[in-house]
Amino acid sequence: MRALVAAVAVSVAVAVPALAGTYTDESIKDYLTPIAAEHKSEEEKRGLEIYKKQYLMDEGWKTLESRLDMVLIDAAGRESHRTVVKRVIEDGNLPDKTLGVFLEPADVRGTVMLTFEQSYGSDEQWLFLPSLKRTKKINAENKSGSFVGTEFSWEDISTTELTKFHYRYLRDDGDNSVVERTPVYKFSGYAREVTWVSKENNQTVKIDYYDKKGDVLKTQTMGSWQHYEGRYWRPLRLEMDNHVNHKKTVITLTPYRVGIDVDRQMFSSLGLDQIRLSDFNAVAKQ
Amino acid sequence: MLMRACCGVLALCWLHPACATDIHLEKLYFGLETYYYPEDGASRQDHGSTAAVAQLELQSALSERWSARATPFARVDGHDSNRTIFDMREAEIDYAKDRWRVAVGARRLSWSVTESVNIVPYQVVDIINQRDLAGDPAGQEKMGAVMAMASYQADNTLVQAYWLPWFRPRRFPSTEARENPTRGQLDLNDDIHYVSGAGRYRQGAALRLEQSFDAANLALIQYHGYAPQPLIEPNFATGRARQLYYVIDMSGVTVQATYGKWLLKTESAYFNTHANPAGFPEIPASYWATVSGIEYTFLRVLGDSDLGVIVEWMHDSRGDGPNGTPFHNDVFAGLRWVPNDQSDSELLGGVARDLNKRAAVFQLQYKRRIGKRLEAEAVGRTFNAVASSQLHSLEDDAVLLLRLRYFF
Repeated sequence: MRALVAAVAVSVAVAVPALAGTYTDESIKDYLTPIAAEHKSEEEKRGLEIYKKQYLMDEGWKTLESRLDMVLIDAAGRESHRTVVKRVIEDGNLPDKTLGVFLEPADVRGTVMLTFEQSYGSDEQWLFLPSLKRTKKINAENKSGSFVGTEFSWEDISTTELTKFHYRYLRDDGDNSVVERTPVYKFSGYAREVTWVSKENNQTVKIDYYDKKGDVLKTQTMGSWQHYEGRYWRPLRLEMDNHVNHKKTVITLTPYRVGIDVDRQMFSSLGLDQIRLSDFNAVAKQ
Repeated sequence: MLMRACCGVLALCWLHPACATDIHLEKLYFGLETYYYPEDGASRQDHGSTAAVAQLELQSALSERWSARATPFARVDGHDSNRTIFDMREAEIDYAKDRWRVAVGARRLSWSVTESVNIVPYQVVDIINQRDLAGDPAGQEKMGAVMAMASYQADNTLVQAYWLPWFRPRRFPSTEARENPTRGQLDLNDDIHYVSGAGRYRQGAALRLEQSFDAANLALIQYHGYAPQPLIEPNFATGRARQLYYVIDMSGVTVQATYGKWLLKTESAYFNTHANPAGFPEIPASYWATVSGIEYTFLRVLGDSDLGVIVEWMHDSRGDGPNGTPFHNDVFAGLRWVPNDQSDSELLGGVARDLNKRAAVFQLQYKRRIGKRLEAEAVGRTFNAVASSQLHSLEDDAVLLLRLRYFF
């Protein structure tokens, strides 16, 4: 099974020392300078500017919790379901850590996946298998593979660091700006992504994923936007349509609980066998 | 007896009015297991058996710091009485405060990191839980072990201390069972002896330290207690085998590391047998063992599938004599195919091949979910071994196992 955390369509990098809600061009200068140096043309600068603004809006939430209900629909219309509770923490100046606890299907209930995001290169991932009581360190280079059988890959749903893409403004499209993102990560499954960024709240509302031949592989649309603490935006509905195999995945999220008190020791590969499912049942019943 | 005490304490906790409403049935399954042997075995052995199994998992957060867990398991087999069992796989009470944790009761845990020890009946460091070879001839069925455990978890370090007051002897296939290693000639579940006068109540202990780095997990393990694999002294005149459990001091290390698409794994240990009283000449000299290897994953092969290649070396300095292991100097090579589909299917094929002589175990297993709640697993295993191999009693034999589990 691949990583779990879905859904943070727009999110946060924590590689930058700053107080909550006080990210500015100045405070992320060291982080931004090498990225800005790579963006030379006017279109590139304009594209980066749009995503930098999105990045600056979204930090300082400390902890997040949500339940994800995923519906996998195959080409013949048959459905299968997954339910995962995810918790994410910002850990000081380190990249985000995400814990995903599977509640359904019943046979994988209690499976836990822990991911340490990395600003550059592969993430670190561990999987706890409840039937064996075994914590396995797993191959985390596979950002491009299917996430638990869905049409989302880990790279589609993990947090978005500015460092992960090269940006280029393409055109104006009514309510949205259209910006091209080219993945920097060499094992990415995509050649490029064309993204629609809302002018109203500066969030990405649609992404077309292109392969190296120039064909559109998949389209993701984000909807049911919620505003938290006057700053962060989160979509509560994500849909991924695969144009190659004609399968579809719809993820519905429960409203995020932001800044909740979590046991930081849970976010360690050493303690995955100690997680109490009962602590996650409340989220399951929301 | 201790097991009953654990259950009793758990029952008392749950009957207490404050927590009576807080028990969660986290998992429950009913299942069927069918073993089928297409070849003829010895005269008294049949072509397999079918069993009904059930396991339920109860958890309760008694308070913020206290929690309890019980996992009773039952199997009723139509043919092999040794496969019929009721076992408390888990019956424990936990107390957690800040970085400290204490757990008392029957528990199951896993210290292994390599793949082959999770496929063939051989263990290096993962020895706290005794194995039920009657329940699973491949040695993957762990019985609950009664223990008290205290742990301290720092940011990247975990220290665990175990007290093991009660040892459980290994369960072997009965004389009617096909994978009885003596082709049904000897009953292996009688006549159990211990080097210590305290018998199964000789106290054991273990200490484990695990360090987590971003790219690797490293653990050091020290264990003192009975070796889980007994010495077996056959007596064909009586049709019984004498089993002797001896004491070991195991010093072990496990590493699991990722490097790009590579996984590097090792579990290795030195077993000191000097703690045994004189007068048991059959106890082996101190020995060492390792299972070490790599796993490489090819990503997105044929659409969304991942293909893993596993190669591991298994070595045990006791050799492959009657009280050693058939996996004394073997290479395990396997392929794992994960299509990342809706039914979470997985296909694993592998062979453990002796490097000194012709002796091999071939295994193919396929697992998937059917619908929402039914898990199906099919395993095929066949053996090929010269007369000097421990596996020879299974020469050219084959087994098919079908396992169905319905989860509520």
